[in-house]
Amino acid sequence: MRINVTQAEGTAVVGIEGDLRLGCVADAKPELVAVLATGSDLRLDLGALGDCDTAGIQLLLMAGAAARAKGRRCVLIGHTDAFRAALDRVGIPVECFEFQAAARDDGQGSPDRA
Amino acid sequence: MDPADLYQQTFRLEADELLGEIEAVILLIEENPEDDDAINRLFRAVHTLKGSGGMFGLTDIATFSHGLESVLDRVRGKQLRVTRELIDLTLAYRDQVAIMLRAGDGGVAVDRDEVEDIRRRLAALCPPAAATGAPLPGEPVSPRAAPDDAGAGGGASVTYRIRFAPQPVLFLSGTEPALLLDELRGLGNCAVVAHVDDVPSLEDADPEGCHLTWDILLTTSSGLDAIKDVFAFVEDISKIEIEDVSTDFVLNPDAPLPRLGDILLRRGDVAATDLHDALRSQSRLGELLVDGGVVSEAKVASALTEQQSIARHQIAAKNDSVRVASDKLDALIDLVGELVTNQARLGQVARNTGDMVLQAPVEEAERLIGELRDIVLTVRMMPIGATFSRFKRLVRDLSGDLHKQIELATEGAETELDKTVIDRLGDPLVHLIRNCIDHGIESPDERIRSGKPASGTITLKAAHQGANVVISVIDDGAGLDTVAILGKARERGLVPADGELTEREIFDLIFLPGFSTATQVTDVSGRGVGMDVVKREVDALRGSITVHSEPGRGTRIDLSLPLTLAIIEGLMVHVAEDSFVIPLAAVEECMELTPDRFATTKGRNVIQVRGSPVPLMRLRDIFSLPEPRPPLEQAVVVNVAEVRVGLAVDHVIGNHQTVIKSLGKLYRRADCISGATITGDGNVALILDLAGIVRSARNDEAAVLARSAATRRPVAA
Repeated sequence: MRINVTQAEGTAVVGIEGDLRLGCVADAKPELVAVLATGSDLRLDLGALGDCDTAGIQLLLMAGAAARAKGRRCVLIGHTDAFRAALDRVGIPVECFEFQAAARDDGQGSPDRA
Repeated sequence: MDPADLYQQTFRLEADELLGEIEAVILLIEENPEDDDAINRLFRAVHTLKGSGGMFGLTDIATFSHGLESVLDRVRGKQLRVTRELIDLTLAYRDQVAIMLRAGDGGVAVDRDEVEDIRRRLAALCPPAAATGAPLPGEPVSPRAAPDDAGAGGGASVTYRIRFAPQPVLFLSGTEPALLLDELRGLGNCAVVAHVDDVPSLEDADPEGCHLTWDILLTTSSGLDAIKDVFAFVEDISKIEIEDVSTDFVLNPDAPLPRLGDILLRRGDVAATDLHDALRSQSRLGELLVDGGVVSEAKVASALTEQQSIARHQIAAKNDSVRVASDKLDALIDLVGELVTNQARLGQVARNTGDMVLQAPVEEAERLIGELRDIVLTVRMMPIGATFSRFKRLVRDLSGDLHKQIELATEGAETELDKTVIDRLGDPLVHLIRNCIDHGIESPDERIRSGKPASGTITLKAAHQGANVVISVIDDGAGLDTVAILGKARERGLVPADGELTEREIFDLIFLPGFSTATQVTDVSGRGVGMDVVKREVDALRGSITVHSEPGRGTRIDLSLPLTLAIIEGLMVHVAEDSFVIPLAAVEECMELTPDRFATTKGRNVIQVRGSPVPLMRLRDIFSLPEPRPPLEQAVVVNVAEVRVGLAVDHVIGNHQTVIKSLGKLYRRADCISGATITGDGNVALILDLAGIVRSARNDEAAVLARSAATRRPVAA
């Protein structure tokens, strides 16, 4: 698992590459906490995400909860069908995340939801 | 009743249906062995029989079914082909299970040897080498029931609500919840909702601790233990609640959908006071509760999932039917009958008093009772298709015995008829079809000689015709041999040696008791028992029979039967001081009996109806009622089995809702009346048996003819 962070106009784009599993959530936490500390909105780019287990999904939920607690947004982009299937398998309602289509991302940058 | 008995009785009812399904489907498969859908249906039926048989302690049925199920499973998996042997064995299995079901309560004893023989032959169909049935590569081998088992309606499916709340240590104990959930999905139909509202914010969270909880709705026939097995390794570190919620789902398909609030309340996710507060403002409950911070979005989503799931189950249950003992329905119909009778009296009283204030509610009650009556009568209506499909087996077996090729075609299987009529129609139809097979359809050689296809066809047809249902048995065989019938009738002195009979009269002779033209008595028919039984049964049902036949082309026998036996629309008439009811369905028209319409030819009364002569009978003469006649009589023209007859009466009163009361055994032999009813003023009116009236008129006429023949003969000699 590798995390790449790029900052742009008050938004941190966080790319998560590789598998996000129980074995690496402890390592991922401080990196994400650091990004949140900058006070930016979060954009979690899941385009290069590999396997994601329940602990991995929970980590993303925690990141979302943290962003909301700070009054920031946490948007998922570039997610794959495999990720949706992983949510479905564990029974996590898709409403728990804010998704945004990747194509729209660089264009207008207008989010799906307010 | 002992609950165990009650369950067994329920099982028997279900099993009877399954056996019917098995028989119908195996015959379909015989026609088309590649019909995968039918094979699956057959498998499911046998599987269900096995499952519920085991559950209700009928282990012999369960083990017996298991053998066939194994074979059918191979057939489903394309490892075995449908063979003649398999079809015969399936039918033999079906018959034996039918015997097993009845053996417990005084039926025929089970023939152990026969059962053992079938079991052995079934076992021989699937050699043990194939029995292990290697799983497809890459497919997980589940030690438990396959997922489609629950969907296949196996035994009793139970719906459980499982709340799974693990401690944070779950992940680190090496458990991946997704795998547990997969395992549950393997048990049956499963809806999973995870709750995320306890997931803490990242900064102060332990990401390796599990903060999720789950609500799972599982419909399975695998039993509670199978579910507990899934959680066996996590039960020490989790809170697991399993609750049977089937009753919410199946027992009461007509109950209103449980309200979302009720589900949340019952689950303890929301307090009653919060709920009432939320309900007070008129908006969607779920949104309100979430907005108010009372409950999380996910909890509402989970409750919504359950609500939708219940809705789906209810729809499924609604497509099914509710099983009600028919004596309860009979009691209901009797009561509605009383109500209709009483309403007629009430109406009469209201009219007599002339009180306008009373009239309006009485008329309203009349309308409502009319609707109630119509609905109650339709409750007893059943499609005749199930009866029709019973005969497929009969035709298959009999035609095989007689070395004939016969196909059974059915039309109008969806036609609905009163259950009593359907039940009592079974025997007459068996006789008619046996006759078609034995006498009607020729042997393949004969058929080819007369330029017909070797295989004969018997068509069973049902269709509505006014207030009647006409059921036709049609064959494309040799037709009735009028010469032979007449010869036989003369030989037995049933008709005068030189009496001229119309074709219709000759056909009617076959319904005389003991009448048979067959020179050879077979196992199937020819004993002269049968057609008179048909006639008697149809008469008892207030129906009529007509026969059409063309030599070389075939025979068609139409049974015209009333839709219902409980309440009919009648036309009330008066003769002298008495009231009579004529079934309205048979009435064509009413007219005044003016002298210019009325004539007497050759001692017979005839009226002119729209230019054609129709025989006229006086109810006064039939029932020996006292004179005098009124100056102007009325005639009611009725149509009975395509014969028009005029009935002379004193007054036509009008339409009458007639609740039929039987007359009791003493009047069983009373000709010309089929029952009685109670009129609004409390008097008894007799219901006319029109077929009986026509018959007795014919007999009288035959007597007149015979007398005149007898008086003519000395003159001629």
